[in-house]
Amino acid sequence: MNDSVVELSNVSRIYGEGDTAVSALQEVDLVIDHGDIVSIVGPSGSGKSTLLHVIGGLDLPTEGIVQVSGTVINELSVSDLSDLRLRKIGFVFQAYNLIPVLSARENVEFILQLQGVAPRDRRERATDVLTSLGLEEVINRRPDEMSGGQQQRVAIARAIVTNPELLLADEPSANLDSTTTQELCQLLQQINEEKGVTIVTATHDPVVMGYTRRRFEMLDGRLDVEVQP
Amino acid sequence: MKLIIQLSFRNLWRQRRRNGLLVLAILIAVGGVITLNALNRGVQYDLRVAVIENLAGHFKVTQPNFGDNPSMAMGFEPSNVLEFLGDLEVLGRAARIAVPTVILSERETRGATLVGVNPLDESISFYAGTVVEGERLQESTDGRVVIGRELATQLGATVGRRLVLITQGEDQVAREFGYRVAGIYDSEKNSLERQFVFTGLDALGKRLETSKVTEVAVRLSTDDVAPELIDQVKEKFPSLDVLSWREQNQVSAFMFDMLEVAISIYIIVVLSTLVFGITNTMITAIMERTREFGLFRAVGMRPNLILLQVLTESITIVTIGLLVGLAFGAALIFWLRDGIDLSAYASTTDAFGMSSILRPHVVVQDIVTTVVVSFVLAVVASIYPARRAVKLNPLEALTRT
Repeated sequence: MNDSVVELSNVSRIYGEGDTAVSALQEVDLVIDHGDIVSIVGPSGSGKSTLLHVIGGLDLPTEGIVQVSGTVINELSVSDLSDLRLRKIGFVFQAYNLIPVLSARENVEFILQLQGVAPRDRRERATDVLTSLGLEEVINRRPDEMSGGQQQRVAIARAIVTNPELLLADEPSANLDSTTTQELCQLLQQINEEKGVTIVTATHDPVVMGYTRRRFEMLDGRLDVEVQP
Repeated sequence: MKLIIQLSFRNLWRQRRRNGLLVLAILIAVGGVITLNALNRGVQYDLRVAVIENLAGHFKVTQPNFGDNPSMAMGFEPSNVLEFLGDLEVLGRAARIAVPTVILSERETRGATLVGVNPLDESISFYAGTVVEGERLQESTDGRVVIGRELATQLGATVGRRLVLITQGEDQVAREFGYRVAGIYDSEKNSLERQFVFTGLDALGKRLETSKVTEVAVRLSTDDVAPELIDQVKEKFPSLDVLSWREQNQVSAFMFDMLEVAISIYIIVVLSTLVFGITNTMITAIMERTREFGLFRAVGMRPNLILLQVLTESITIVTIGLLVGLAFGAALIFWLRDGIDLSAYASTTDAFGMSSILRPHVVVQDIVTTVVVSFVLAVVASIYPARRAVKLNPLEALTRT
């Protein structure tokens, strides 16, 4: 049985054409198994975020095949890609990207609403996830009433409330202090261990790297080296 | 859908100042259009009623070309027509002799129209609503005259005085008779007071040695049934002319139609400006929330839901604007319910037979049209910004600062 969640085969992503063409990804091959916790590391502009976006179906490769949960996403329609992201993938962004007019619980419930979960069920699930992440005190606060760390935890709650197979985190600690980063990493590790969620994070933060089991190094769009942590 | 509505309301509230200004613009546009249209309808209503009540009725039966040669020679026996009309659903009908006359008093000579009427049938014309100094005509055999205040002033006539009226009979021979003034009527319109002199129909027929009349005017309860009834009368009496009020007074009919065009132009022009306001507001809202829309796409919100979200926001704004605009329009119309005094322009209004008080007249269809057009325009105006939101590349949107 194929145990991989993510499989990239000879994936390239080129922006622009002709002389101005930029290769963000070059012939990347990558397999990430169920329950893995992986970091993609490398300097700015190395292609980490592009790789994450291609895995998450936010960007499509110029060449190569991308499979997520056994589905080849290259040929999916816009709606099918939306469905895949909604049901299989959770995103955590560097800038949190919470919806400013919604409270913490509503931000989490929002994804469940998109999935068509019944009101009582989604309220319970959102409350449970936020409580498990230590956010019970800010449950009714809006993003502008929360600290950066709290916002990032709400973003994680939103990403995992649907029980995704795959959690993609792009520079999740970029706006956090070292203490909050430690807490975040412990949280991601806990989610990975307790829920079995596969986590792929793009980072150049050594603290985040320290919590991952596998580490891939990227340079100039090439995924060359798997570094043992 | 609950999610969409919840997000829409909160986003609208988040930008309440900007959206409040848009609602204000819609309020002024919708309220203004409704009020202006009500005033225009007031002019139209006044024009139509003026023509109908000024002896034209909703339609009138005459001999062909009576308008070119309004004389007793163009008379016809009314009994068949009246009998036929008696079987139709009409509000009232009145047979009349209406012929040109020259009136001589001791002081002046004036031209006018001598109208022989049965006073009991004239509830359909302005005559019934006039205030009369002296006495009204008592019956169809009453041989006295009731003249207008303006004409009385010109002739120097008073109640009880004798006037001499010269009128042609069927044989085209002029006849001269003395009439005593029974009463002097006051009308809202001076032109009517100058033009029409009333006497009893049977008395006039006796003097002109005829049992014929020159017209049968018909008043209906609504305009809607006029075309059908006119067709029925035409079919029954093919040798007679059946003229609607529009055919009898083409100047007023033209003005009526022009006002109809003006009403359409008001609706289209004023409400079209809303398109720009709504489009501009929604584009601004989308640009401000680019990251938010990027997030929606990234987490799997389907494009049609994003389209629906933007449309819901603009429809919500327009609905609120329409409701307060309707209330504003209703308040303005209520405030103007006693009318605008145009007596400073009385000579102009009088020339068209209109009242010098302009009262708003509400036509439900205008309000429905305004609401529907506003709503449709709002949806059309929202489509471009909504499509912009849908077409946002989630990746670019999320990374935009």
